[in-house]
Amino acid sequence: MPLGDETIVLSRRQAEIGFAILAGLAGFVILFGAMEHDTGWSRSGPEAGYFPFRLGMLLMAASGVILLRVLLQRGPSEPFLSWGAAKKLLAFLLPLIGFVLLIGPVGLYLAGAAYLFVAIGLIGRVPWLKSGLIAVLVPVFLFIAFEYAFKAPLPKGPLGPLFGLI
Amino acid sequence: MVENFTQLMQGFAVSLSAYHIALMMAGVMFGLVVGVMPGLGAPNGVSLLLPLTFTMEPVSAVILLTSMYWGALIGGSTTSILFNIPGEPSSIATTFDGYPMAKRGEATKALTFAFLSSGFGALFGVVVVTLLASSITKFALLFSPVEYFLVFVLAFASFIAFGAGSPLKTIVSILIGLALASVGMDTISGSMRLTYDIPELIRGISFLVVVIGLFGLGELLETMQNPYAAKAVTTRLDWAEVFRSAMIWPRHYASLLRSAIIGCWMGIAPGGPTAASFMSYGIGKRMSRNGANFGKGEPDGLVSAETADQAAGSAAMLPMLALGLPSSATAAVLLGGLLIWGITPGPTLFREKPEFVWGLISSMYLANVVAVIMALATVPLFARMMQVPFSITGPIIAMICVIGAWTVAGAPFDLWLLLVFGVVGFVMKALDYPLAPLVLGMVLGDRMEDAFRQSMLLSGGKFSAFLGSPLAVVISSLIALCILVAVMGAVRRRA
Repeated sequence: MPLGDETIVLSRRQAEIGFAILAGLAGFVILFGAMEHDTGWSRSGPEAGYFPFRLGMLLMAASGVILLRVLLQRGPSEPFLSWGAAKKLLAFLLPLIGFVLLIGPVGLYLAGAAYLFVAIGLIGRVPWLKSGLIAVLVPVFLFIAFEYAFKAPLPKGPLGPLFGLI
Repeated sequence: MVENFTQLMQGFAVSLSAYHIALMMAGVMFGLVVGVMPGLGAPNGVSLLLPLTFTMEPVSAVILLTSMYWGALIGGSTTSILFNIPGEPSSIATTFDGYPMAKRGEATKALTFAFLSSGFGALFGVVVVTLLASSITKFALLFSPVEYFLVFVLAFASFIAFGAGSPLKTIVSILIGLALASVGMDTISGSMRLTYDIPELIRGISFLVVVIGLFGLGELLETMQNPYAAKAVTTRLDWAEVFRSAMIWPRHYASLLRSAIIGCWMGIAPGGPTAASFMSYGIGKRMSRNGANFGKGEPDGLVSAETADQAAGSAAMLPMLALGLPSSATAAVLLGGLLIWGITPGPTLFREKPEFVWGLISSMYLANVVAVIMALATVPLFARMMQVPFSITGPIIAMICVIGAWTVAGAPFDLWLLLVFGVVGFVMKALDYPLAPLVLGMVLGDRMEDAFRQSMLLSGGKFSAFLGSPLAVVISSLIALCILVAVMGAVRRRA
């Protein structure tokens, strides 16, 4: 079935339930992690696991109550995410994930230039020349700012030695 | 009092150097940019700049970052008035009357009023900080780990009782923050906690990365959903009108004073600038002679919101320095910065590092004056900057967030955390989970746990220690009161 932009992919009720379950699960993971340590008392007071253990329990309890209240609510739920909005989110997130993946192999400046070009030109539909200029000038500006002014070098990848020549 | 004045003068000797004045101007400028651009808020902006200050002198670093905060608090109102887009959550209440005034053709008057009121609120706040500094430190010396633990609990309890979000959701937010803080090495036993054998988690989760994710990427994702169509009412400023407005502005003295007091109260007791501006606006509506016109472009409404906002921001420095208790997300980030620079907040800080404390307090006088002037001077610049479409500014801000997360520790793992917290922040905000308590939990978590374990050690494991001194009884009763307010609120909503 093709999805129209108006199609609701997630209702608010579903989102509330989903987040409450995730928070409860996080509580369980914390509880489980705390149990690797002593969760009780010793002569030197509460042990390392004491605090996280109780945090995990409280988190499970609080999200459990939120979950129950949402489940008990009657009546229609308002929309949370339409397909159109979901597409916009993905169009923003996917290039960003690509950017983070590229930093390792090609360095931050080059990956940043590619990201800006894709995000502004391809997805933002800004004219090629303009987006190309932004994609070149912003990393150049950041390069000068971070390498020289702030003296906080960023990863340069295989192009590193080349930058050294400048 | 006299002693405070001498200390303040010595503080000016530190802060009035050419270098520090340049830092103030740079900080205010950064802050204005951050305050104006949606997607770059004050907590996020301070987090982005913080790693670059690791090598600076602590007093210079704190002057730079607090100046940025003042700039952001003031800058947030420019877009509120001209575009009806609050640049900062604390300037939401500014849109109620600021934008209608601008639409009526009184943009210059609205901006002048907003900036002057901000400046007044800030200066009022700093004077309060100056006057109370030595008494609050004497008071803080009465604190043992028991009282510290209780006061941290009180901070969370007041967020639960008086915060904007539902009490349960606020609790979840606090717990997530506290849990994130306990990842990594346990400060007392030295054992590794909640690391699940993932080597990257051994050094813990940096609150800076989390803040940049939650407030930076999260807000960008939110703006992506409804990209703003920025149409400025005007981008010009009529300087003669600025002068005329400044002349009639003092007539609002009643609102100014009332709002400054509310702001200071909300800044010292945890609440923060956002809560302060809403509260002051609400009270102003009931008390002002022109209350009925609030929301239709009433200058009194604008003055009420802006004054309290900035007064709360500067008054928040007092509990942060004296008790290590931040009352807003940005103050929490600044507190985290203090700890990184090797400054331990607390009553002894005032005695051991007077040049730091009074250098900061004295810089607040000057930086806020600088902020008012620079905010006025840059209105045309920022009004034009806002008209750059979000499809261009969005990706650039996202890239800056990634770089900011990288500079914290130079760890690729942090970038993935950034993305995860960006999505988490977006979802939490959309579902009305408040984010500030999470940041507070993250920054206070370790110290709260230490205080708890120390008090239990001292009392031999007896919980009665939490009622063991008169001060502890008072704080415990306040906590009970907060819980009562929260429960009663929940019951009333049910009925």
